[in-house]
Amino acid sequence: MSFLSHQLDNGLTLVAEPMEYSSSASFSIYIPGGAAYDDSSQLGGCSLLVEMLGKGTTSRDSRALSEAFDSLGVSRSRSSGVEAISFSAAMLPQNLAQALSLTAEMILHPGFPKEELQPVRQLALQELRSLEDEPSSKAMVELSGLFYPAPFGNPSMGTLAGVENCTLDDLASLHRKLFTPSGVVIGVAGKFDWDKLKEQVETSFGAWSGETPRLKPGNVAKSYQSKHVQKESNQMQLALAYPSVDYSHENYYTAKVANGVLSGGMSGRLFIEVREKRGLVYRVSSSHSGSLGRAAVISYAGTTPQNARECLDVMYGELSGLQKGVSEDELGRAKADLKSRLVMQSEISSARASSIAHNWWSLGRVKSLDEIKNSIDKVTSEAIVEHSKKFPAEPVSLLTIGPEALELHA
Amino acid sequence: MKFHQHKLDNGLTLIGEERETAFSAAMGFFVRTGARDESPELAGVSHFLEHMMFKGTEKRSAMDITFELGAIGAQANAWTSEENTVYYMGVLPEYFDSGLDLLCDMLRPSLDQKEFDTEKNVILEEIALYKDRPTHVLFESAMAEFFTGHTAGNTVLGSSESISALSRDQMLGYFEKRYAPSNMIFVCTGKIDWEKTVAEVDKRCGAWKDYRSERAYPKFNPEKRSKTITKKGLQGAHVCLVAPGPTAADDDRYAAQVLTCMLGDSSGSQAYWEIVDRGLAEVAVMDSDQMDQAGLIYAYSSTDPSRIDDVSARLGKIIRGAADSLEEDAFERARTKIASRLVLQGETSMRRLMAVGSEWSYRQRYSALEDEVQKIGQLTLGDLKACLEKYPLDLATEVKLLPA
Repeated sequence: MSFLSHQLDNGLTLVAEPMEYSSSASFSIYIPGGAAYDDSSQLGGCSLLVEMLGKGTTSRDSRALSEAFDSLGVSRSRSSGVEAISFSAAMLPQNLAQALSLTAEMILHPGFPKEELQPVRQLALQELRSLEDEPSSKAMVELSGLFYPAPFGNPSMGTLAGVENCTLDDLASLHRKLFTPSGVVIGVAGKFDWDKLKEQVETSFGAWSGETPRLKPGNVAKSYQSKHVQKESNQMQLALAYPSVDYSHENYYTAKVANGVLSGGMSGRLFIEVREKRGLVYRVSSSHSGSLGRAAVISYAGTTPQNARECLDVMYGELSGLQKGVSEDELGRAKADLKSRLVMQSEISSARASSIAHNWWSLGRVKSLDEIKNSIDKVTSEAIVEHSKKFPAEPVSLLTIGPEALELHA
Repeated sequence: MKFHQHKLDNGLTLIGEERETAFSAAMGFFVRTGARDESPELAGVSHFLEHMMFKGTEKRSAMDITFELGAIGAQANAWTSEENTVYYMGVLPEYFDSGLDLLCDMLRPSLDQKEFDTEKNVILEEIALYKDRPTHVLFESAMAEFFTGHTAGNTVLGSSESISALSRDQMLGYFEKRYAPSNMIFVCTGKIDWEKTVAEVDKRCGAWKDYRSERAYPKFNPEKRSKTITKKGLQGAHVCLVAPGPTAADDDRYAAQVLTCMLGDSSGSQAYWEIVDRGLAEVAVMDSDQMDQAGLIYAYSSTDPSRIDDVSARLGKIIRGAADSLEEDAFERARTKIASRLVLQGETSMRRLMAVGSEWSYRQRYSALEDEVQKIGQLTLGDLKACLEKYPLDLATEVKLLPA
């Protein structure tokens, strides 16, 4: 597998991976922006901005824009995360050029129609309110706010007050400030002609100018806290977070495999100990988030109140138990799971596009599948133990939602 | 792409879609059984049994299964619906044989009493989890209301009461009635070796004894019904409309697919412009579901409680006005969208497994991706109108979920 890259004079990078047997093409565009860039009195601004961009350009209204995409059969999404705003699309290969050009129009020349702000804001407020009805999503939002220092713990969806506060002028100025080509990465994967693709990207994005300094990666929490959100619900939500190493770190794959030992497939320790042996949950998992400068292990379980104490104790025991050692069988299983997922993802053009864009975004280069497989293969049990001692599960941030509060230790 | 099929002497059908250029393979058993095949005292047994398939056989303990799946990096799981139970895994080609050995063994579970008791708690946790999810609460209630008097509306999870009362012997009795080789199929897709697969499955499943597994088809007379349920502490409000639609055997299902895309796709549809784009609801969608001798077309929306009546009225208006609102441009866009999605969904062995397996389960035939795309391409607006005449959407049952 080979990667192609091309840098435009304005700083934008195009990175691409041809997939010989693919019958589709996909792209992912990463732009510096998102909740961490929101003004503290206007949390949710970037999220509103991204919604507004779908509402029309200087030459097409909302309906014309949507119909233009639909006529090409483009499956598309746009989202505002913590440190990146992304635009993704998947389509038949013959429609790639037109889809890129339409997306460029949407990103570079928004119409900001006045009458569209009210509905966009109304939906954002509604989504915030209905988050209260989705306890597991709510737990993740609350945990981020608890664990990450500002502005990295800002909620992507914003807050009710923040969303109410944003005017159309605010969104337009946010757009001017953040939407510059300097740090932008476009990842393309699937079937395409490289020369034509370069030309297309030059045509669509070449005239874009300006520069936005990217936020320096944040550091994870120095103080660890517990928080309980009172709610009458059938299950309690338990969510924990503690630091780890990020995507650029040499021990990144050690951390990934360590997390695999905890939570890879059905044979991870959490699943076996909490669910299979004790029947305390339906869902239990932990994931390794490798965001630059604020990597963390995030663990989650949903359990009924009468099982919550035991669930948390067993879970926490497993998180801290990594330091005591990892068997060769467990190591083998965690590696097999990671590698098999990696290969299966590599068959999907949209997954590849987003992965190579993210690679470039984080490292300024693309890791090949072989390089990743090699890194995974090299991880030893000793390395996992050493890593777990350096990044122990205590201190930890604990977030609970449900009918009664729960402390980490009984 | 190459299609294969074979029938073992005991009635187990094997099918495969081979794609030489695939990096992975997928396999699964599609069993024609689910909640609709349960008597009331067995409510939830199909789904509970699905969990038990991972909990040990004569040859393997639950941990053996878990660890062997892990050792080959299998992406394994299962799901249960009103009428199907599917066990599947995705594997790298070099692990296909080990995966197959495991999966075939799993389908003859030992139903160990101790494992049964522990897993019962997992099911009770799962029921508690879904009780906290408004969409699940709404859909379960809407299906029960729409299918009043018909088993297709049975709950998949069962209730805390029915699960608590269920015994291991009752489950065994259900298994022995429903898991006949002629009531299931083995499906594989992607990078596979067909001849070898047939031999290996025969070796492991050829001795399974066959018998007849019957399904009841009570007469169903859909009526326009409505119901409001409530939930304490709810912030949002939800509505679901369910109307009769094409069954799995009915070729009108292609028309229904394009029709619901035009009326209620998540973006660019009538419901999108009438409701979501105006900021009235965060979700307003329509879709169809084809079942065994039953079918439905449904609409769903979630919004603020203050707007639920307005949104529900707008959905009703779209449904009632459907026949006169279909325009050629929108029809073309919907067909293009669906055709592109079909191609994008064909990218992985796992997604093909579900499509190929479901096609055979319901219709005992194979349909290549290109054939499906072609079926969509051959539709006319007239076909959509004919579908609407056959399945008038205004027969819809309406269920609302509101804050208590």
